[in-house]
Formats: sequence, C-alpha cells, structure tokens
Amino acid sequence: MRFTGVKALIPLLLALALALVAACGGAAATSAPAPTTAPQPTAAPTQAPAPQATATAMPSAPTSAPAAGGSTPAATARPQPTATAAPAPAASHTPTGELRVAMATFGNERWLPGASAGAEATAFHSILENLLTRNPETGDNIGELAEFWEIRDGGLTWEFRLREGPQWHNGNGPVTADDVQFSFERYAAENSSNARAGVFRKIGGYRIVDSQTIIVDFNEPEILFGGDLNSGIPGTQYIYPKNYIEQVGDETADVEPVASGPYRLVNHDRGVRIDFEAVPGHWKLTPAFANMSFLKTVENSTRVAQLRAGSVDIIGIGVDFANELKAGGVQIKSVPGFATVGITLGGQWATKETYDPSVPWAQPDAEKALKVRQALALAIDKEAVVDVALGGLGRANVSLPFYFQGEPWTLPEFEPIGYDPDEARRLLAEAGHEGCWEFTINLVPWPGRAFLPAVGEAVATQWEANLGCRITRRPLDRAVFATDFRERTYPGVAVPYAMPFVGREPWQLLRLNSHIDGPVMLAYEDRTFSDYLDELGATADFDRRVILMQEMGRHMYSQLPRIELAEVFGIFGIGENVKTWATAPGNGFIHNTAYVNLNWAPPGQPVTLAE
Amino acid sequence: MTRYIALRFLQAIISLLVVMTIVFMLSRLSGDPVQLLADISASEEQMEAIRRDLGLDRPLAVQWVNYVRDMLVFDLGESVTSRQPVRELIWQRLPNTLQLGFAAMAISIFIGLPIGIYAAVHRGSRLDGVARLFAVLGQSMPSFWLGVLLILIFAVILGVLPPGGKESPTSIILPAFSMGYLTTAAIMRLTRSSMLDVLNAEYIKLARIKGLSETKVIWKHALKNSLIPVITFSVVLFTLFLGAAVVTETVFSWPGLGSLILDGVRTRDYPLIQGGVVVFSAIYILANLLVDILYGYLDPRIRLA
Repeated sequence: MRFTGVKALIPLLLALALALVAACGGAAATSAPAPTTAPQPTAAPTQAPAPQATATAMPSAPTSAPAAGGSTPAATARPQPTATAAPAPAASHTPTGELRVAMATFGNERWLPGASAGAEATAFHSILENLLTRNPETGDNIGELAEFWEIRDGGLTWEFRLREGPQWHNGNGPVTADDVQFSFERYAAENSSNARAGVFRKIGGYRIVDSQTIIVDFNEPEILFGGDLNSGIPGTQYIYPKNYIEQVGDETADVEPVASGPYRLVNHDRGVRIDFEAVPGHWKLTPAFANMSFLKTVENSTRVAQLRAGSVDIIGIGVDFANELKAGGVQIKSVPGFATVGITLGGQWATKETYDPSVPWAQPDAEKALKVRQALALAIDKEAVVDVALGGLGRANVSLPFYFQGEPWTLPEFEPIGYDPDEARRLLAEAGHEGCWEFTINLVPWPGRAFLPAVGEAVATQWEANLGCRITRRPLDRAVFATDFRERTYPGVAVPYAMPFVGREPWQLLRLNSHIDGPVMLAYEDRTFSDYLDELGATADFDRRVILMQEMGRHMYSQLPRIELAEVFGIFGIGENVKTWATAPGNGFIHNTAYVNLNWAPPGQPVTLAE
Repeated sequence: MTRYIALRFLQAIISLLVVMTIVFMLSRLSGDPVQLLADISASEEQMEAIRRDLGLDRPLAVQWVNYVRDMLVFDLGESVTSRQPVRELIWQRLPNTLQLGFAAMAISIFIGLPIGIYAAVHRGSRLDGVARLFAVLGQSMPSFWLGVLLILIFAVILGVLPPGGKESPTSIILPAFSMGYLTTAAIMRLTRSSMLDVLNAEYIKLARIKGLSETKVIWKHALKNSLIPVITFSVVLFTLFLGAAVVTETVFSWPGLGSLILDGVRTRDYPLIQGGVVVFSAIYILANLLVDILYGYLDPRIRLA
C-alpha cells in the first residue's frame, strides 16, 4: 500500500493539537491575576459639597489666556462659613460599560504618599483626589477637596478649608485636615521620592483649626503652592487617609489603597493592568462608565493597534506617532502647550571644564553672539519642523520657552523668529563668520519626547543646506546620555530638548531646571537669570511678576544659548466610545478619565452625561 | 552514568558562577549605575543615598562576595522602582513566559514536525518546495516584524484575535505563533533532513523488502529514530524562546519575564535586570544540562567519551 502522508499523520496531528490546546488552556487558567482587593466601599451616604464652594474659588489671572496650576496666587479667596453637609445630588444617569485605557507605563505602581515619583498620577488620579484641580476651560485652579483656600503673608501662610462631602472608600469617615497634614508630611519625608518633596520640606508647621480647616506655615514664601496641589503637572500630591494607613501599616496600604475619588480599586495586576469600578453616589460626579481599566502596553505600535482594533478606548502616545494615527484613521485629541521644543547650544557652562568661550554663539562679544544665534534661528523653517517631526501637532509660535504669544509677559519683541536663509547668511557674515563651522548634535529620545531625534535631524539638515554647516549626528540612548547631560560634559555642542509644561508662568519650569544653585542645569547658567527666578519665587503680586517676567524675557532673549522652535501639543488617540473628555491645558498626560463622556462642571456642581 | 551526570552538574554550576560574575562585571563596567538610576535632577546627597542602598559604596570584592552569596540563596534583592522583592516579581511573571514558551513550542512541533515528515517522504515534490520556502521565510523573518504584521492582519484588519495583553485564552495565539515560527522552520528542516537520513538507512530498505506497509515503515521504524535529534534540539529551542520572549512579550504586551526585564532596562532598575538575566541564564544552563543527560542516556558513546 502506498503511504499517504495526510492520512498517516492524523494521529500525530491530533496529539499535537491536544498539546497546543493544553498549553493555551493552561494560559487561560492562570491568566486571572491574584486580585489585590481593596476594602469594600462604605455604604454611608456621601455628602454634597456646599454650593457656595465654587463661588469662593480664586479669581482668574488678569488675562484671558488659559492659566495653569498655581499661576494665580496673588488673588485671595475669602473663607466662607462651613457648608452644611447635604446628601449627594441624584445622578442623572447610571454608569454602564467599561472604559479601557492603554498606556506605556504605570510608573513604580506604589500607592503610598511620597512613594510615587510622578508617572503613577495617570492611573492613580481615578481613585485619589487633590485639594485643588484645574478648570479644563481656563486652566485656573479651582477647589476639589478644598472648598476654599487663602494665601497670606506673601506666600508664608496657606489656609485650606475642606468640603464636608468627600468620604474615604472604606467607610473610614470623611476626608479631614489631619489627612492633609499626614499626606503633606509624607511628601516632605526624607525618603520621599515625590517630585515636589523640596516644596513640602519648606513647610515649617501646621495648625489644625478644626476637622475641616488646616493652616500651613512655610519657612519661606511659597507663592505657587496651589500649583503643587492641583492634580496637574507636577501636582500629583494627592490626599491619603491617615487613619487607614496607620491602622493597616504601609505594607498593606501600599497594595490595598483606600482613596476618595469617583472610582475605587478592584484589582491591580502589577505591571499588567489596574481595574476600577465606579463609586455609587460619589460627591463629585457619577462616571459614565461603570468600570475602568488601565492596561500597560509598552510598545507604541501595539497601543495604536489596540485602539484601531477597538480593544481600548484611549491611548497615551507622542506626537511622533501623529502621522501613523492619522494614516490609521484614528481620532486624535490634542492638548496645546504640553512642551516647548528647542535646541540647547552647548559649550558655555561657565562652571564646567567643557566651558568654551570661543563657541560662535557665546563669544565674549555679546552682540556678535546674538547675531549668530539669530542666524541659526533664521536658517530653520520651523513650520516644516512642526510638520515633519511633530506631525503638524504643534505651533511655531515661541522664541523663548513658554513665552507664548498673547501672554501678558510676552512682549512684542519676543515674537517668533521667522525663516529667512538669506538674512541668516547675512547675519552670520556680520558676526564675522565667512561660513558655518563643524559641530555635533546629540540626538536623544527623552522619555515621553521620542520626537526629539527627528527634530534634531530636521534642524541639522536645514543648517547644512542653508548655512553650509558640517554637522555630525550623535544618536544616543537617554540612559547613556543622562550622566553627560547632568554634568554638562557632553561632547558636541547642540542637543534638541523639549521642556515640559509644569505651570503657566515660564519661570516655574526654569526655576526647576535652570537655576544656578539648583541640582540640574538644562538651559542657562547665569547669575542674573537666577536672581530673576529667585525674585519671581518671592513675589506674590501677579502684576509685579508679569513685569519681572518681561524683564527676564529681555535678558533671556539677548543671552539665552538656546533656539526655541515650537510649542508641542500633547496628544491622545481616542476611540469611538469617547465622545467628550475635558482635559486641562498643557497636561499631556492621561488625566480626568472619570470625566469621559460627561459634561464637565466644577467640583460641587452637577455633572451630567454628555449627549 | 552517575559520574557523567555529576560531572555535567558540576560544569553547570561553574557555568552559572561564570555567568553571574559576567553579569556582575558588566553591570559595573557599563558606567556608574547610580547615574542611571537617579533622576536627572537628583542631588549629590540623593545619589549617595542610592549608592549606599545598593551597597555600591563597598569594595568591589566585597560586593561580589555578597552578590554571589545572595544569589545562591535566591535573594535577588529589591526592585528599585516598585520596592518589591525581585524574586517575587520574577515568580509572578515566569509562569507566563513558560506558558508562552510551551505554546510556541507546541506550535513549532505541531506544524514543523508533520511538514518535515511529509517533505522528506515526498522529497522533490511541489509541497517539499513550498515547505522549504516556508522554512527559509521563518528563519529569515525577524519575530518583532512578524509580530507587528500578525497584529495588523488578525487584530486590526480581520478583528478575530486580540492585538495584545493577556485578556483571554486566545490572547496567546499571536505571540506564540510569532515566537514559534522561527523554530517551526528549524524543526521542519531538522525533521526533514533527519528523516531523509533514516529513510535511506539499510534497515529501512530491509523493512520495505520484507513487504511491510509504508505506514508501518514510516511510523514504526523511521520516525522513531529520526525524532531523537529533534527531541533534543527542541529542549535547546525552548531556551531560545526565553531570549525571544523579551521582544515578543513587549510587542504583544504579554506580561512575562521578558517584558519585566525590558521594563527594568527602561526604568534602569538595576537589581531587576541583574536578577532577570541570572534567572534566564540559569534556565538556559539547566536546559543544556538536561540535554547533555538525555544525550548520555540515549547514546552511551557520549557518556563513555
């Protein structure tokens, strides 16, 4: 009998099929992670905030431009009588379905105050609440847990009065002033890895007036403290339950968190997913979705595929993927003001061995150096950079970091430098350079800013084409470059770097990354400049700060060894299930997910389902 | 045989020690880990604290002795980012990687073995040509590229399988196939060549002359002997899956040890990377030890040599 392969192979095929099914079945059987079950939510009725709460919020800055967290401390809110606790308003809808969010990182996934460094805010914000939050429409600070607040003595004293409605999920009573003090002390602790630990360490003492009122006394003026408490960037300083954490201990609280937000934790599979469910009758809002899951998907392409396949509803992604999203027909939600991108010109850190006073853009003749920098700026078609490297999701509207057009501190003379290669060559010649020179540009994909090498490449190409520069590209991993960057010893002279939004006023970021006495110097090493930053930090009066920022801008414009290119938008990919989503200006990280498909309203006012 | 096993076991322990030392040295030669661990804005004091925490302020020899001592009792330290014991994190993820590895292996055998047998029996046929093309493609196609392609076709366009994660039993299919295709081709080629060798052997000719049916010749006499190298090779293949898991798990967001190690690289979690690499190496060495013992059992000439 002639052997017939297929027939003879049937037993083997069956055996192997069984083996495969067993393997897959095994996967299914163990796929359910050991749930980290949070304590059951309280059945106690939640209470509505006082209706006058929003009326006592701090007034907006004297500008119509979007304001960021903490930018309006000059104004003071007058404390009002404590509101009478009232039942939560009946929800206009019942939460249904599930919202699924995919993101690249959950951070270190720790639920203790002071243990998380920042990236956790995205997932955490769904269950935790802050004293303040930001109005998505204006960017101004408004009360969240705090009903009202007041800044006194030029920033030395801050008083907060809490709403009476918010309750901890485990039935451990209302959110109190003790919880606030406990959380702040944890943020200030020596082992705190919180990004704003330094600010909390300036607190000299606390005064608990009553269970809902706390006065915070600083050792030195801290005029923008509100910006550290507003759920923005880097305002991830949430309020945690003192009694619960002290009762169960850090080890348990770190894996079984209790919070006060509109969702509560039901499962945390570390490094994989976090699942939440809506809290019925929550004081602030009733979410549109009954369940919400955050999935960790490190690979960008996979997140895009998940969205396109309908597996998730929201993805966090960078502008470097904008073109791919557009090509795939994915809906993009953009957030202006996420960062400003520019080229930092090196060789001029006066306190470092790498200091080179002869670099063309920082030679002793300040006038010639300025012409060189202007020439380099004029030789770049910034609109083209936005189109090519940022997928069109940015604006070439800056000449200094976060000095956006229309802001009160942006003088007409700070208008963006256009594109004029002829003028660039003329200026270069005027500065005494027959042609361009040879230098290196470092191309480093910074976390969350993977577009930077593309920006650097686009700039280098244009400098070569328009000025005849001879440029060596140096692609580097961030981890490898970090040491050089920190020490300011990096070879080569130019590096594209995007400064992220931390607050509306430009000095808020520059104080963190470019103060001459600070731990890190990313933009500008200069005593005069640092003096401006110090003075701004101690000036409670907004109008006076505007004048100081204008003066500082003039100084930067003539001296700053950096060419600002564009404002970068933060972007998210969103699926068909997402109809509305109120996000705060400048916040390019996933936030306010509890508000998806709801009509946004200030905390304390009825939040309704979007049509 | 006992002496042979003892010798191989000793060699495995020495190999493991060498690997641990290499990991230890490389992690220190690649620069100051504290510079990588600390945030860009960290002060000197904060960096000194990290150095103290990790024991990096001690002499190198002391660090090495402590490191080996801890590793031998499977104390892999604490993750710098999550503050969880590395051993615990690895134990949580290792089963997922093993599941993926076994599923990929099952796919490799399920597809590679029958095609290899068929191609050998029908040598020179059109199907044999197709099988060889399949093998060449499988061995030349990068698994990450294949992974993205599979996601695009089966998840985005056809919408029949999930694009990533570990949400349902079907979630394993795409990553397992992506990882298994390379080895499917290898198993197919090995089975085909091994089968061809055996089919040309004298005892097979004798079996045919005796008038045995072709089915009996293939299944009873040829297949059994031709599978010996395939089985031993499969054990080695499984260790290859561990390496491939880093890429595949990342592309498919599969929560295994590979993606955990890559997370460690991204967050510069030095103890996690070190622990993960040592565990991978230990599995590799153990698998090779198993193959050596298996060879020694199957072929007495090896253990006598």
